[in-house]
Amino acid sequence: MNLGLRILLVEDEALIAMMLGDWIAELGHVVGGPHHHAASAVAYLDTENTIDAALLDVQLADGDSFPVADELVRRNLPFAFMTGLSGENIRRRYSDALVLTKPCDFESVRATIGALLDSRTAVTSS
Amino acid sequence: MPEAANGGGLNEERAGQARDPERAAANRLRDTYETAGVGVVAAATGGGWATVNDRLCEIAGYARGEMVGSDFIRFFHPSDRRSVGDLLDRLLKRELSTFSIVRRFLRKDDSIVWVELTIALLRQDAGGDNFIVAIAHEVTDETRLREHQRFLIQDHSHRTRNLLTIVQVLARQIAQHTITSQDFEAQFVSRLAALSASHDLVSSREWAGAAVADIVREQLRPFVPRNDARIKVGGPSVTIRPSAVQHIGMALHELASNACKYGALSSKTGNVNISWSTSGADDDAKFQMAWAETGGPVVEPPTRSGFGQMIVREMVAYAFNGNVELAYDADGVKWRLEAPLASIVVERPPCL
Repeated sequence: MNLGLRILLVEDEALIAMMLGDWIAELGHVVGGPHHHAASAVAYLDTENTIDAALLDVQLADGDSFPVADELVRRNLPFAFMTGLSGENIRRRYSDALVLTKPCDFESVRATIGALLDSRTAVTSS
Repeated sequence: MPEAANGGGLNEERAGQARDPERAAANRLRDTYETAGVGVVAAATGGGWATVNDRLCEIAGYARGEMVGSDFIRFFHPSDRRSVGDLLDRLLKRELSTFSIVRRFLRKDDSIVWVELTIALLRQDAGGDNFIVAIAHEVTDETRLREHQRFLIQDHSHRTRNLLTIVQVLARQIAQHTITSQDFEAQFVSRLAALSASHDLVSSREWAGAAVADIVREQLRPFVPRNDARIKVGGPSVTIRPSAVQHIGMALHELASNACKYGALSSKTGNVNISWSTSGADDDAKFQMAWAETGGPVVEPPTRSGFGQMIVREMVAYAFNGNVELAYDADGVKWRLEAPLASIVVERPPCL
């Protein structure tokens, strides 16, 4: 069982960030952030070495969250995107990334976080 | 036609040639070519000769002498040269007899024009070279408009999804704070109306943002009559971005709703002062907004934290990366927001 892990949350819409934060807490994990900007999330990754996985809204107020995704790839940390769009540009750039369609429900967030943490376990144990 | 590389003086030899029907036909063709309103370039595949008309020179931004004899590809934008070159190769290999494309010319002054080109390989009579003819029609305005439309559609789709997600969050949060379904419905519907008012404000201005004064007016409308003497509204003209219209709108809705139920707007003697201002400059520029109630019933701080508080405090603070103070003073509720101006105002001028 994966419990008490730290999930980085990047989401610029306050209410959505709060709902996701509640859900992450309900799943027994801790929220890293939330961050509205890619820059602050990247800076957070630089100082916090304890992130286990991440949920990234694609379209942020000041651009997209791809700089955060690139940093997560570099650190070999699992992440999923959340988007209201088709996700086509994401699949082109990050072919393996999980994509959650907005509006997302608790069950899909739970399943996605579960899959992210499992992939992390698989990576660390192999 | 080879001599037409120099296009000046179309009518000079006219008088002497008028009696020669073939010459006259050639002249008519040349006049048509020069006045056609579309750019035309024709070149022998062997490189022997080339002609361009005035309109093509005008579109490409080069003088005729600079165009004739030079590689046609170099007039295209560097990012488009390869795709045009590939198509031209296929044309020369007879894989295509004609093609139409929309590509960019990079003009001499470094500006970009979009051009719709139809390019064909034509066969000359026996002995002559084959030649390539390109007809160019400038479509810069149309292309920019189409790009802008694509941007608007995508932007709109993004906003709609976000709005749906916010409605989802509203439903969930209100459900957690209400007991009966009647209660839920009443609260949900009034918040939807507040969101809808913000949406109307920004969509009527094509998402260019809205003035703070208009947001205040629209959000108070369901609660108080127009020009209610108990309410004072004042601040400079500030246009704020669509997402901020939504957040400020939701906060004002919660404050007004609370004031009507328990605060200054529940009594005839109460007053509400709504004010906003800006201060500082550049990176330090700030936006302040305040809601101050006085003269109503004596206020008692709520015993538990409700959804309204979450909206006016946590949501607003997060949305604007700002500070929110919410005080239940005995003489009335006081709410104050201070946030970086850059997180509130319109970030870019409306496109086009």
